Amino acid sequence: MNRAQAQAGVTEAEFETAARESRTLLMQIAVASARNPIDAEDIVQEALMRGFRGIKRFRGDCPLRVWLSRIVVRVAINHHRSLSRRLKRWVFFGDFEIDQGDGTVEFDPPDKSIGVQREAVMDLDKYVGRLPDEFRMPLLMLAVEGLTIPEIAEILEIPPGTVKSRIFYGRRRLKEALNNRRQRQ
Amino acid sequence: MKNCEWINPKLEAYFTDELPGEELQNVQTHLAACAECRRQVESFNEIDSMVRGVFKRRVALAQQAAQMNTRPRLFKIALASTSFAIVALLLVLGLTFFQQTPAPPVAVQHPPSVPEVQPEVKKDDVVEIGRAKPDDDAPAASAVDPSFEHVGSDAPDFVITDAAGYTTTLESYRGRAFLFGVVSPDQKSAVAGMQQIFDSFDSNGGIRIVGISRHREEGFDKATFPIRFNHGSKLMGVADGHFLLLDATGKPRLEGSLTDAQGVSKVRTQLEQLGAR
Repeated sequence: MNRAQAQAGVTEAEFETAARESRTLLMQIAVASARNPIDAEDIVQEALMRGFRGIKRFRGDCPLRVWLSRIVVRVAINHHRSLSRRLKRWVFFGDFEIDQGDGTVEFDPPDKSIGVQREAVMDLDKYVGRLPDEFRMPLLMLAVEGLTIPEIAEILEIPPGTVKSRIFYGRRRLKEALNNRRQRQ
Repeated sequence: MKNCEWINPKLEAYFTDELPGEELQNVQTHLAACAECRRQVESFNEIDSMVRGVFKRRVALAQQAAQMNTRPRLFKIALASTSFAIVALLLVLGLTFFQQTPAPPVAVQHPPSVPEVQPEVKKDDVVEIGRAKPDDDAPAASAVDPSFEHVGSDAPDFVITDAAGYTTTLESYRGRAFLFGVVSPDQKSAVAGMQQIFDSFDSNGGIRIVGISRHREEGFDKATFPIRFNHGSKLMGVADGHFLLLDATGKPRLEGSLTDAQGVSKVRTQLEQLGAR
């Protein structure tokens, strides 16, 4: 398929290499973008497929991994809406259990010094899931190792200042949600 | 409640690094003095570390889901084909019972159940390329590497975060000399050495000094130098308890041990050479 090669300057092999190398990053971006983390793998698959098909639209004005990350974000937004995915999630949850006992799910508690209970993190997960996309995505992307604000801005295609303020408002919403929860208890 | 209202509208700018120098100073001075406001800022930082916990948990879930991906798919195919067969059967039965005339062509509805389901297992070559073969010969673990914490050879040279979680790279420190030391709370002598360097040169506007901890941890109570946290980077290969001095262009100039008694004078000599003193 030299069609893509001639127009974009990215060969199939280069695409494959980039896809393989940024696999971990894309997976993390997908986790940060998806409302439900179990969709992450599917999102990455679909994004890579779309990326491969649309490689001729890659103009080379940003690194290939950033371009792929942008597709991941777009796929993630649409992914949640599709009915068949909901069905799949339903089927999946049918035989899925989060097993903390035998260590299959690595759960890393937050800083012990803060003395936050795990319960709070579980609750926070719920609140994070309820945040609108524009707040949740930058907030979770900040937790991706090595991803800086300018890079998040590039992936989300918004100015860095906007990323920072969305992170701030995201945090504030979560803080308020947690405070309300404490008051209810 | 003290007169702290003025700080609330400034918090966003404080966290987004947009406070001009003087106001930043005011806020910092106030935070140092007012426990209540400090608590408020800390609670934002708490949220951040909890969000990290949430993210890690989600990554673990995603990995588990990816590994189990084939099972629901098979289950779904089985479910779809069974329900299709049942519907077809009911249709045939219903038609034969309630219609006087026999309707054999309806029975032809059976075969489509197979091709209808077929796309679920299609071997699209495009999918194969994007897939990086997690289901085939390659081990599933390589597709989703759980060791995000691990600093591999492809890790960036220098990425740190501040207490609020904002990430910074070396580029942000260009334009001035920059000294960072890799410290941890249990290495008291290194922390003391770092403190000594900070006390000696903090007033010098030509240099920025930062202590970097490899993990997000507390215990630097006595230290007054700014603490940052490593964010999965190689930290330019600087070992624990060592410091690295870079010039304004980001070129490494002097590396040394924080426990070295001569450290301060070596840094001073080097800074004089750089013209930062």
